[in-house]
Amino acid sequence: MIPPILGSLIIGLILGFLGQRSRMCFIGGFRDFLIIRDKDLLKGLLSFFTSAWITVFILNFIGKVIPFLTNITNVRLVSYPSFINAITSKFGLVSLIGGFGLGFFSTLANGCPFRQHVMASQGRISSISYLFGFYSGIVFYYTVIAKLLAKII
Amino acid sequence: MHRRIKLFYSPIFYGFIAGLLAVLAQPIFKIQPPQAYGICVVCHARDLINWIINWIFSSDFDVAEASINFPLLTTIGIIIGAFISSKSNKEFRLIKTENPIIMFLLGALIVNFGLTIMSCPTRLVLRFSFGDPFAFFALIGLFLGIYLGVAFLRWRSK
Repeated sequence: MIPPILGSLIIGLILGFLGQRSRMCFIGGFRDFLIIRDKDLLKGLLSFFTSAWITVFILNFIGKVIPFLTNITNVRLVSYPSFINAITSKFGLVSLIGGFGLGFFSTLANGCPFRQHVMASQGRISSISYLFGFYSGIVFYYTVIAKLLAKII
Repeated sequence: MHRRIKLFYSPIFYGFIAGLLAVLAQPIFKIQPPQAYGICVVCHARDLINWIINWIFSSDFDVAEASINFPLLTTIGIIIGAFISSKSNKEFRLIKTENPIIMFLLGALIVNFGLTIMSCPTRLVLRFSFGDPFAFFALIGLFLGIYLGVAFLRWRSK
């Protein structure tokens, strides 16, 4: 059994290598389509979605056909709320605002967090300083913002 | 031969491999719970930083259940993998493109927005493929944000 610490490192290595070669960026998919109608990165995004969806489907199917594998193949640990419940819950609005901020500022920063990690290891000074902001922002969130949000929400 | 390499390094192939790994990370590498946690730049970076802070100061900052004993090293892996790739591709060179201070502030802002919804754009798509309705709302917000961001960039370049 490979422990999560090693497994995540392997996944990161593969993603970093392929991501540098393919210049994949999840923000860039929408952005390039809006600016120059380039569908190349958008195809990557759709391919990611389809691949993950089909893999979940296949794993569920295996779990149903061979019942003693269900513990291993069960990737859906908890079920999500229904669509109507999600609209009326306050986390729907929080998700919308969070997604909006993520999209707007990532467009200004010229790439999603994954792409910035890749560009930083390609030697972009601006992306390296982005990473410094990224990691110190995590500490800022847990010392200041999380406590504020806990009061509001 | 050249064409096969081109397909191998295309965004579509990246999406295929990343989607497969993101889901299979749960049963194979046990990167769970929470579910749909196989690939997430924001959350795994948070796990790493908070785990280190907890280890040094014995505080109790949030970490996901998957990384209580040992942190997840996805971000470190991405940096090393992309460095190897850019070195072997002869694309590595130090260049300065944008103002580093603005990029520093943008990085801090983005990670705060990301942590409020516990996703980076990659995990949003992954959560949506698992059927999470909140991820769907966040994706709508993401698209609106990119639309306005593009409009802002156009306005600034005038």
